Amino acid sequence: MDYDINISVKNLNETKYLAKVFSLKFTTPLFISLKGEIGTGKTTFANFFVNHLSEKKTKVLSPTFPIVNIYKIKKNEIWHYDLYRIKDKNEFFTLDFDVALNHCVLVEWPELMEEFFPKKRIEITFKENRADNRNVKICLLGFNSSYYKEIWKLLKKKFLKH
Amino acid sequence: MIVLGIETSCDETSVAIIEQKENDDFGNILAENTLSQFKKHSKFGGIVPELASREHENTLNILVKKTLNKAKINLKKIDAFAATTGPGLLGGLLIGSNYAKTLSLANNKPFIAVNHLQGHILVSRLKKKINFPFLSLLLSGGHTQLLIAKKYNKFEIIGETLDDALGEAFDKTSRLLGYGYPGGPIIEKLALKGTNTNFFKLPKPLLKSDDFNFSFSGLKTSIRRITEKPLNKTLQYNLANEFQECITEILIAKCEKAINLFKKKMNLQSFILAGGVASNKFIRKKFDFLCKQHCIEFIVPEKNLCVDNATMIAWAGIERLKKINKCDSLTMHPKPRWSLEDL
Repeated sequence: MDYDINISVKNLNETKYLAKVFSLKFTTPLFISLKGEIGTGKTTFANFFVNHLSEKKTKVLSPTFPIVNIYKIKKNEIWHYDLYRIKDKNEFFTLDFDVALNHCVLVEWPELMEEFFPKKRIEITFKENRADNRNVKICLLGFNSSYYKEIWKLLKKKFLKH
Repeated sequence: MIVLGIETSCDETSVAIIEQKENDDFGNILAENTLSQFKKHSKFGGIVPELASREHENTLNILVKKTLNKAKINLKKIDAFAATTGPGLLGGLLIGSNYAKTLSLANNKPFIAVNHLQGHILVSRLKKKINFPFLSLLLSGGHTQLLIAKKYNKFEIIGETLDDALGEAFDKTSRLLGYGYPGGPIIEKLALKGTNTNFFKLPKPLLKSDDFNFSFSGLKTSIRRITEKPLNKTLQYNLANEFQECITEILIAKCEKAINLFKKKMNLQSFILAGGVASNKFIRKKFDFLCKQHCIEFIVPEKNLCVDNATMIAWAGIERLKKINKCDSLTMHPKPRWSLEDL
C-alpha cells in the first residue's frame, strides 16, 4: 500500500527530528528518495539522518560532485547519491546501485531514474514555504499499515501540535 | 629522474612526463597532453560517469604514446610511473591507476599512488622555491579547504566547507541563471558585465564565524529564490557579479584571519591558491592584493596547471621519490574519498 503524510517543518531542529524518526525505524535494505528544488534541505536531511545513525560525528558533504558518498555505520552502509549532474537514465546500471540496494540508499535528484527504483521506498519532498519553513510530503510506497502507523505516531508527537 | 604521470580522476584524461635533473630543485615539463571531456559531456548537459571511464579507457593509450613522442623518449627512460588514486570517481581512478601499474610491472620501475589534492598544492613548487610550511587555499569542483602544508606529505586542514564545494556553487548558480556547465568560466564572464554588487543583498554565510570553515549551501538557496522570477540580462550580470564578490569576500575574510593567526606563529612566508577555481581572475586579483597587504608571498599556478592535469601528478610523484625512495604496492586499491590528512 502507499501512504501520504503532509507536515510542515518550521526550522532546523524539526528537520533533525524528522530525520530521527526515519533513523529510529532503520533496517536494511532501505531506499529513500529526497526531492525538492536547490537549497530546500535535501542534503541537510541526509546529514541529520547519517549522524543519528553513526556513533561518531560524521561530515556529510554534498554528493553533487562525487555523485555518491558512502558512509559506514555500525554493520551497515549508507550510500548517499546525487543524480543532479547525470543526464542519461541508463547510467543507473553503472553507478553500483546493485551493491547499494543491499544497504541504505539516499538519493537526491532521483526523478531521472525512478523507473528503476525498488517499488518499496520512501519519498520525501521538500517545498519551501518561506525562509526556514518547509512543507514536507512523505510518501511511503509499498509499505504495510503497521509501518505507516508507527511512523505516523512518531511524527504526530512533534508536528501536529502546531 | 623522469616520471610519467596519469590523471583520470574526473573529466580530464591527462598524461605528462616531467624531468628533474640531479642537483636541480625544479622540474621540467617534457610533454603534457590533456583531453577534456567537457565537450562530449556538455552534449548531455552534465557528466556521464560510465562515458567518463570509457573515454579515459579509449584515450589513455593514445595520449601516452603521443606524450612519449612529444617528449622524444621511450618507456625505458622513464624512472617511475605515477597515477592519481584518489579522491575522485572510482571508474576513472581504476583505469588510470591500473594503466600505470601495468607500465610499472612491464618496465620493472616503481609505481607511485598520488593524492589528487596533494598534486594541486605541490605543483606550485615545480618552477619556484617555496618553503614549508605555507598556507594554501584549495578551491575546486569537489573541494574547498584551507590548509597548512607542513611537509610535502603532511597537511593540516584548518577549515573546509560544511556542505557544498565552491566549484559546485559556481555550477549551480550558472544553471539557475540558465547557463551551462562548467559554471566557473561562465559566471566569471557574466560578472564582468555587472555593475552593481549590492542589489540582491546575498547572504554571506559564516563570514563572521570564529572558525575557518565555509558554507555555500545557503547562498545557493537565496540564488534559487532570486531566480524563481525571470531576470533580464542586466540583472543576470549583476547577480553573477554579486555572487562572485560575495564568495570572494568570504574566502578573503577567512584567509586573512588565518594569515593573522598563523603567519608569525608558524613563520609562514607564502600563500598558495590552488585548484580549478583558482583560475578565476577576479579571485586571483583579490588574493594578490590581500597577500601584498600582509607581506606574504602570493603564489598561484598558471591557468592550465590550476585545472586538473597530469603534470601535477608526475611532479607530486617526483617530490615523493626524492624524499623517500619507496614505491607503492601494485595491490593498493584506489580511494574515492582520500583526505590530505591521511597521506
